[in-house]
Amino acid sequence: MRENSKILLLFTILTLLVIACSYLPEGVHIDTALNYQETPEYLSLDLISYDSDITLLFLPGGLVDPHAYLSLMQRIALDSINVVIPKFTSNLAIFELSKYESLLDIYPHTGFLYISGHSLGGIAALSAVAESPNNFEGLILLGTYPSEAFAISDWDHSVLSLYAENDSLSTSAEVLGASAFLPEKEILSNVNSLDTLSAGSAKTFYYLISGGNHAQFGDYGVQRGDGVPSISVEEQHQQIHAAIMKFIRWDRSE
Amino acid sequence: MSKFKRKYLICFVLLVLVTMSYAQEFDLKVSTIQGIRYNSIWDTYPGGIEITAAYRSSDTIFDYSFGMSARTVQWGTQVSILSELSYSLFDNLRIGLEVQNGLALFYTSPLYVYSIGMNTDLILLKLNKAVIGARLGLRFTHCPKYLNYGAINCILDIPIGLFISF
Repeated sequence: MRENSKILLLFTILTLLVIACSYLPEGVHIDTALNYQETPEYLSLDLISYDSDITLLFLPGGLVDPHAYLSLMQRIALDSINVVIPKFTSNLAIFELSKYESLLDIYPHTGFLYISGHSLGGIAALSAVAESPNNFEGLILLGTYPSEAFAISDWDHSVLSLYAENDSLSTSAEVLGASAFLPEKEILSNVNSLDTLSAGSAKTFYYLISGGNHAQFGDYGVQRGDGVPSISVEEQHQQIHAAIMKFIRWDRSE
Repeated sequence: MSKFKRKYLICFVLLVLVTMSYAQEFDLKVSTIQGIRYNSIWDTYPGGIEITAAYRSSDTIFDYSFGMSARTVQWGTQVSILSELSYSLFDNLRIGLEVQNGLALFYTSPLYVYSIGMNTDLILLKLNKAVIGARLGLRFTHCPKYLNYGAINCILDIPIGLFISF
């Protein structure tokens, strides 16, 4: 092999890997009321004092360290929902679309299973629902939207789609523009309006996080190409948490 | 760029140039990695994949390799500079001791990572201008500062791979 080719090969490998940098989380303190476990396959959070029958499988965004979602997910776990966050090769869920199947074998759970994902993790969640529609009770999308390849418009469970006003990576127009690939669209102006909605056919509830951006669906600082938020991470997480809990409670009361 | 990073980069470039000038062979390895222990817990789990490219030179007793390695790992992706000293036990079997120093790739500040391991290379096929073989190893990897973010920051694993030397 000529010297030039060898150097080119080394350079290509290096370049491919350098662009695979992940975003690191901000430091997070786990509430002592929670049982927090980390294995090579997943992170899990569940309330020590309560044995819940609802589990949320959360798929992290592409090139984001899974620990970046602990601050948001522990709020949900504190509301008696077991949370499991899988780890993916190179922090890219999109490379392991069927990992949820093996994860469900190794993570002991019973009862109702919801799936959620942020950004590329949301695409992986859509893929999981499209592949195994009967495995999940509901889908929660954070700052993401489907393409035709992952259309689940005929799914008979409901979807919650949260999108942020200053998210430049998944804009409001893109999220709402893909509504044809999800069950019937219903835009919520206030998450409390879920309390008054009666059960019926499967729906996709859209809720706008005013002032939020893409990176603040997790907690990993500033993301390239993202918009500037006008609310804090804390405020955005409060809104996401409230919306997710309202959705799951509404869905379970059906 | 910090003083430390600049020195590190200069050393790397110098070592690459020196090794290239003495190199006799170029090794390209692809490995799948089986995790067997993390922190203090014995467990089996998928450890990722690794690509290694290295120049190798030989004297009468030892082979010296110097190159780069990139792998997927518990904390994402890492790239390392590797150096290996190997010894041929038989015509088609050599054992080696390997040290890697590198970075776990994170925005905006990569984290230092190092590995120490031993390898056994078995030459399977000798062609005109290339040699093809299989590799089995045992390696300890540690990313000290990742403990600020996650609970698993040191792993023991078994790389199993194929290599081609030309």
